[in-house]
Amino acid sequence: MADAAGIAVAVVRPLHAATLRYFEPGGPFATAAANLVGTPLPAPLTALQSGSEVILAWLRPTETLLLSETDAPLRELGERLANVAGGHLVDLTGGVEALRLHGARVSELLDRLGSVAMALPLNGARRGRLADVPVLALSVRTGEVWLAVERSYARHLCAWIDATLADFAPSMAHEPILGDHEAHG
Amino acid sequence: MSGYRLPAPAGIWVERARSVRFEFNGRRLSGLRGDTLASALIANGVRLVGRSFKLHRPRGIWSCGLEEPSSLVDVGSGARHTANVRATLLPLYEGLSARSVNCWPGVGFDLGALTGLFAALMPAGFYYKTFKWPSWRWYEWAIRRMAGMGRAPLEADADRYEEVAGRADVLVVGAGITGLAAAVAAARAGADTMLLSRGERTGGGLAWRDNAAVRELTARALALGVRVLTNTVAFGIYDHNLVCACETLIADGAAAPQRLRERLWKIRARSVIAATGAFERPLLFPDNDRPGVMLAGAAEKYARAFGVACGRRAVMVAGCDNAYAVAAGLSAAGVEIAALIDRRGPSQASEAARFRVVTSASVAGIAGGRAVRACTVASERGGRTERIDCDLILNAGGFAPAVHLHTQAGGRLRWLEEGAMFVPDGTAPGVVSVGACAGAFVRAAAVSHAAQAGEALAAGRDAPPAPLGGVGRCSPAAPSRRFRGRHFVDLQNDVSMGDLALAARENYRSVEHLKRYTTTGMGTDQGKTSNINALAVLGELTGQSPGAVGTTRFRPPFAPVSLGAIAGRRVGNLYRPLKHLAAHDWHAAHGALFESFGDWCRPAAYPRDGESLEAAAQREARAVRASAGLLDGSPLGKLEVFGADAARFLDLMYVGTMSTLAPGQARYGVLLNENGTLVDDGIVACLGPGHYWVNTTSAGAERTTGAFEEWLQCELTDLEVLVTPVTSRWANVTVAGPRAWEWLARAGFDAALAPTAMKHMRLRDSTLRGVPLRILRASFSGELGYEVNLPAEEAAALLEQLWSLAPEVGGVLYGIEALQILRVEKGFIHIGTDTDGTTLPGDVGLARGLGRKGANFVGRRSLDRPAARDADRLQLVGLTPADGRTVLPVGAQIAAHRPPATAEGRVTSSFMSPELGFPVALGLLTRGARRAGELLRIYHLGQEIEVRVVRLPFIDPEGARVHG
Repeated sequence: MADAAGIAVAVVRPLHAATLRYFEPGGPFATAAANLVGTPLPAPLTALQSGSEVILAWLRPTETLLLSETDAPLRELGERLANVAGGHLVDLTGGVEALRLHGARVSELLDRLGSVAMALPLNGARRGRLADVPVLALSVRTGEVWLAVERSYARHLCAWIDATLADFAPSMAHEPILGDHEAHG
Repeated sequence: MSGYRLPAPAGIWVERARSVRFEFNGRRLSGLRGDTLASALIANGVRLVGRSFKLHRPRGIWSCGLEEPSSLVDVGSGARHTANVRATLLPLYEGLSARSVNCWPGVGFDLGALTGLFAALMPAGFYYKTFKWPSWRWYEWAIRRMAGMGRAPLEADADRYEEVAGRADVLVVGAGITGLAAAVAAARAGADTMLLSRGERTGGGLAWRDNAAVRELTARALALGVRVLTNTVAFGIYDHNLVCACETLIADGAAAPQRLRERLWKIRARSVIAATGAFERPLLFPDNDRPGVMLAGAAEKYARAFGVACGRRAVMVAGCDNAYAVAAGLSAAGVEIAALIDRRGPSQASEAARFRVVTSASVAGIAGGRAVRACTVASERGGRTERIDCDLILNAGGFAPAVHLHTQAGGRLRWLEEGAMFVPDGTAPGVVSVGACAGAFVRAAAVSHAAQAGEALAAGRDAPPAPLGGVGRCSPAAPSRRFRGRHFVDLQNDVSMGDLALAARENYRSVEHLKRYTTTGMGTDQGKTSNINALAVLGELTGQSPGAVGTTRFRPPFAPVSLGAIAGRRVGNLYRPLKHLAAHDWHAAHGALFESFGDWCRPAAYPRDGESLEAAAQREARAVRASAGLLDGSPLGKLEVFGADAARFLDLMYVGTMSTLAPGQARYGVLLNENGTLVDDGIVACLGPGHYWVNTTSAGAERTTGAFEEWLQCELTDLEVLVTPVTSRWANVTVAGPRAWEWLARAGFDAALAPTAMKHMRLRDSTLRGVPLRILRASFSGELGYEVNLPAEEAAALLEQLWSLAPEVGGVLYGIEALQILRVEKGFIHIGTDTDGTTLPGDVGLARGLGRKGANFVGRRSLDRPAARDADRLQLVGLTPADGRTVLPVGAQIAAHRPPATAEGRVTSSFMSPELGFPVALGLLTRGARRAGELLRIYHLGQEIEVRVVRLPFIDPEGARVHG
């Protein structure tokens, strides 16, 4: 957890992740997935949150990322989609990390992570190069942004954000996002 | 000299009550808050500031901005040392310490100035002609010592920098009166507008004239929400209107450890308005580089903004009407104008002047080496000359619009004869020029045009054309009559008219060739006050108009950008992104020494107290052979391949046949590209019908995924195959060694995984205390090996559990260095290390069974090319030193005799073998497969080592150890 003037960053834990892949938008797999999560799959460059607190984010025309802070929704979805043709669900839990950012200066922070095109509206999902690594930025709640990153790059992204936050409030010491041990180990 | 502080009200930017102490070349001086280093030096009477690059001629302050070619200084010290800072841009601060560059032992007495004695022997390109006999290397050391200006810092930069993304509907570059007008109009029309100001204040050339219009427009811009960045130089425009700009937050050399020094902006704008103004263009005359000769506009700015007179008695050399206004202003400020020498004939301006004007004349010579004492004036038509005592010669030839952004964006230029300047020819894609940089010098018309442009671009319309003109008729740069002495065109690189004439005689008539031959325009100032003059002179020499000569391409950066700003946060541990293991902290807690291997930060070894990396790796490798070792192999690439056509697809991708794998079976596979070249290898295991687990090399995961997707999406579109990369999802804990199974058994692994029950190259799904495991019997060490794949978040727990049992089996942790030793002992190749862009499967012994494979595969046809069957191909061999003790250097060349010689091959991997007690190496050698037993020589950095070619592997040729 890092907290600097006007911004707080925390790792989302626990995080369960899965991806719906290789489906035709509007096809049987997409329809079944939409019925199960209770919401249409997100349109291009958008993200939304289902009633079961699953975040769905558009990655590409045939792929949607699913994130949840609880195990059950994705597990059940995986079981129910196992025999539906026209796509598949892959469990990515442990392979993806997510950071939750909120505060008045979130957009300032995003601007300092290195991508020139990261203007993120509410319910937007933008995949780009932040801190020199591929990151999916999404927003499904006002004033809050999630950054989903491949787990192996999370440490680099956190270190970059820590360095940036140090300049946001130079006189104020802040805790590293991953904690001292994780960040500097 | 001569420079001195003028009384108020001159000097609207300085605070007279606040003195600032600083040092220049060891002299303690003082200036005022608000001064630049240049203005403070002038106020202190300092005229000699630097030395020129080639001839070490004395140089003073020439301008008042970023176009400065001469007054470069080194500032700061230690980690805050900054080289070649322009004194004209450096704000004065308490404790500033600056030193002249390119001089020794000092700027006053510079031994390098002896080169001036041989100046006649050192024309443009002299080094190309002279330093080649008997060999360039005889001179290289001396030339390298003399080359460059300033001293690079020896310590790592102590400051911080950042990169920020910006977006705008309309980005206005330049905050002069026209830039402000454009920004206000754009913002008023509803556009999200950004405005970049090079200086600390808005207003450009009017800022130091305390202009009411500037103040009003600035206030309106801010009220309309225009984001104004000051001290920000837009240095380049790139595709799709990406403008890069550098914002300076702290002056060079100043210490402010809590703050950022510079910020690099990358701004994506829908439309860009360039309002970058114009540079003053000097006239050419003999010894026009002497300290005391400077741009006229600069002298006026020093007087008005900083309250500094650059001299007591000035001669103005003029080629344009603007010179009269500048002379009048200086005269009003208290500087005596001894005469205005106008290259042109009599005019209204000359008639109306209140000081002496000599028309159709030029400066024919200057008295004074380190400071101007007088000048000789001669008529352009010949006749008598006149000496005029003066300590300041002001140079006002006209203007050169700053067309850099326009041309960087792909815009064309045209020559405007009347103003003797290049102006934009229409608009560039996405960029509209307004004001002086567009060639519009009539203020009211230019401001009106800028406002129209801002409004039009905000509404998505085209901007109207710029109202050109306003500077009147300007004279050519070169005098029509030739005078004795060097007429310097490029002051920083000591390029004179004579050098240009020589280049023209030697047929360097393309302006691009001229630039490179003479180096004109290639200094830190990038020729901002010299390029147009060079083009004009070349045109005159070759009988062309400057428009026909054209310009060199204006490339970014417009002004020097520090490496720190470009690097931003990419220093230290953020230098490049490294992937980290899920169990990184566990390894750190267990003494891992981390190194980067490919994209990964991995444990290289686990040294014990006082142990070196090499010794630790030897110990670890020895222990794996003797008992067992524990390796985190998580970076191994992992893909899941699904689908009815998955088997057929993998047959097409890999040299090996994968479709015959039964569930639970695994097979080694080699991936080729269309040329038949090895690009990756790995293991393919069948998990069930239409479902495969693919291991790639650690570095090859993305490459293999990309190749799979490319073939599926572009060529094999009819196949029903899904590929999902899961490298980060799964960790890999490898246990290897004769006691590997014993170790796993003690940890509670299922007995069905025992070597007696599970053969080599088999894969089983299992669980351990509820954790799903995917276990593969495979070995990259040659020992009995289990690769335990498990959810990444469980990796640290499994490592901890196994490590707690290590004493019971004599187990060790081993890192990537020990793994390399183990695989070289077994003769296993590492793709990319023991192969190169030409290596085919047969070159490394991987062509067995290739002919029997029925299915086609990527690269197969290329293996039938004649080159693939060439007997002289480089082939994998084992190498051992003849003396039995020298570890062969990796990269060393194998050759028939001492270099220069044709290399027959090279050493690719090399280690001391703890198992054998002598060094072993892999190499690629011409006809290597048939040369076992030969004694050869390798050469490396003067070292010569005798080696023997041996058959691989070095140990366990029967492969018995893999069975435990």
